[in-house]
Amino acid sequence: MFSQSLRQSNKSIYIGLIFLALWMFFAVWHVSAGAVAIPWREVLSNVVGYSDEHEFIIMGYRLPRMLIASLVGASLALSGLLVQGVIRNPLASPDVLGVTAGASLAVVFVNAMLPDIAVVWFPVIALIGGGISTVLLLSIAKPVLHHPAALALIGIALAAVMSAGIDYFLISRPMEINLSLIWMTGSVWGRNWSHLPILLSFFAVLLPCAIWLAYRLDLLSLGDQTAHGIGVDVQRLRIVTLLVAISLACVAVSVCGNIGFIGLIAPHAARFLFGNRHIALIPLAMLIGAVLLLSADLFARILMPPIELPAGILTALIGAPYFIFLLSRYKHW
Amino acid sequence: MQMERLPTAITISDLATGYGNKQILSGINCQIKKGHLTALIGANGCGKSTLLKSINASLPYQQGEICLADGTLTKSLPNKVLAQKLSMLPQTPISPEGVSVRQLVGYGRAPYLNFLGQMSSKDHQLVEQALAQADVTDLADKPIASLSGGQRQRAWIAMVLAQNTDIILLDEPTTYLDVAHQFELLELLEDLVHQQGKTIVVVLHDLHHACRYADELIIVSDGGIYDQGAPKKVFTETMLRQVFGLDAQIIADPQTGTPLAIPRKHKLKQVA
Repeated sequence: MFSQSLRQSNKSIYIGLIFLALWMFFAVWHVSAGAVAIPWREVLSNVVGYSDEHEFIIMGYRLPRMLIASLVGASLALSGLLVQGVIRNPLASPDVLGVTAGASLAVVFVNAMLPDIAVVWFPVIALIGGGISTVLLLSIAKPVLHHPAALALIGIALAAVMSAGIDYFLISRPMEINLSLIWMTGSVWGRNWSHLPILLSFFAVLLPCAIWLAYRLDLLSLGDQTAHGIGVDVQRLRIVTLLVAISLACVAVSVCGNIGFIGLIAPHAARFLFGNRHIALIPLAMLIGAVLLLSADLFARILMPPIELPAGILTALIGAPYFIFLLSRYKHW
Repeated sequence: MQMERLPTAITISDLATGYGNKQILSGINCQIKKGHLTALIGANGCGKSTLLKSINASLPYQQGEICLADGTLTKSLPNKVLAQKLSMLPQTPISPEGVSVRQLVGYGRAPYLNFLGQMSSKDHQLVEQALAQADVTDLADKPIASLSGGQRQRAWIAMVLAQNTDIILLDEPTTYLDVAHQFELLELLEDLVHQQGKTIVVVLHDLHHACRYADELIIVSDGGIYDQGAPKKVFTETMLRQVFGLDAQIIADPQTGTPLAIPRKHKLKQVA
């Protein structure tokens, strides 16, 4: 009688392994490609320490960039997974809730007011901006927190207001805004080891939180009433999950800027492949997110050298049509 | 009377509640007797579902108290603890994609499980038992979203049974069921009450079902309780006219002797 679930979990493991292999493939390619092409064998022997011929390029630039792209992709995906789980709406993602827009607005605002500010401060500012927009969202949406579609709509409205704010600063102070312009389109360019500790420390706290929430999110998929009946504190679960999801999105945005659609596509693809047990979805969605951003950044670098496109443009190129496809199929208005 | 001496499972005193500013229930005082099948009846929109939601603390109430047998307020208990004492099947549960019936019924064990939802062999056994009781063992491996309305309803009932609580609240559980399954379910509820000593509160639309299977009726009207008692005592022609606006004659069910309402045909009356 458990053979079905056993088969299910075997299938899950195979799919997981396929994506792990895919990630490793892109990771090696990512490190090897660029202005100085480094052969794959060279990359591998550098990483395991047999060779140090290209150590400066690999260890100094490409490896941290690869790791950051993977981690940011993974945290965006996890954030999207949690948001979709809590809003029970496949169209939801951190961008829909206005979090990434809030973070971006904060950075643009500070950049316009203090043009000389060092790039190091961007993450902190983005976190504050994301935090404020979260508080704003929760306080406006508190009466409709039990109503998934209304929450998403309020998020979309907030995001629109914040985008208007960003546009205002971009148009009224064009001279001061160059740096944040690059940052806003979402780029992994120029990120280095110093960004990793921030990312990793957030991950160390938030990933266990997500795992702790996973089973309860499975229960929440039965609807608020039923979930309450089988012992879920629905209101608290919703707030805690949103906080975890939003922190993940903020820290990702703070490192790489506004990289859209990964938080939407990765969890969606994971659900499509895996069903809806969150404990299994967490690693898969994270892997898919990592593969997506890593490959986007890779192609952004190698498509038209020596110009580097921001990875956010490539994710939008794949993500936007996918979003339209989802919209056209969505029936539960 | 002997019935009056039964201990109470739930005591509701001076309850007032509603949604937002809209008051639905007020001045509710009643006792749900332990080991009884209590049916809530009343016209549409009179507040039956609201009363159930207040009892399982999913709807906060402005005034009054709802206590369990040991005197604890239902709203003061952590949800997980409350869900070990009291289960509820809401009127329109959501059937998520990609969840099998067995998985769904397994969710009924959630109040007893750790944060990962790991089930012991005893949990699995209770799930199989609930599947059999609700007659959905054959459907166990099918996705719930692929089932018909009636099959889904039975799967939901199995989930509530797997929760294995002393008190069970059901909001119109016979909806979507065909006639045979309706009576099967009602017989099952009767067994649960009379053989396993469960306390069941059920909202029923069919007055015949209510009179035939319930030990006690609570008649809700205009946000208050119109009457409460054994069907033979409270199910009267006056009540039908005042609460339901129904002109009917009451006869005894030829099998059980319980009241049976036969609506009068108005056209005939006009001719006469």
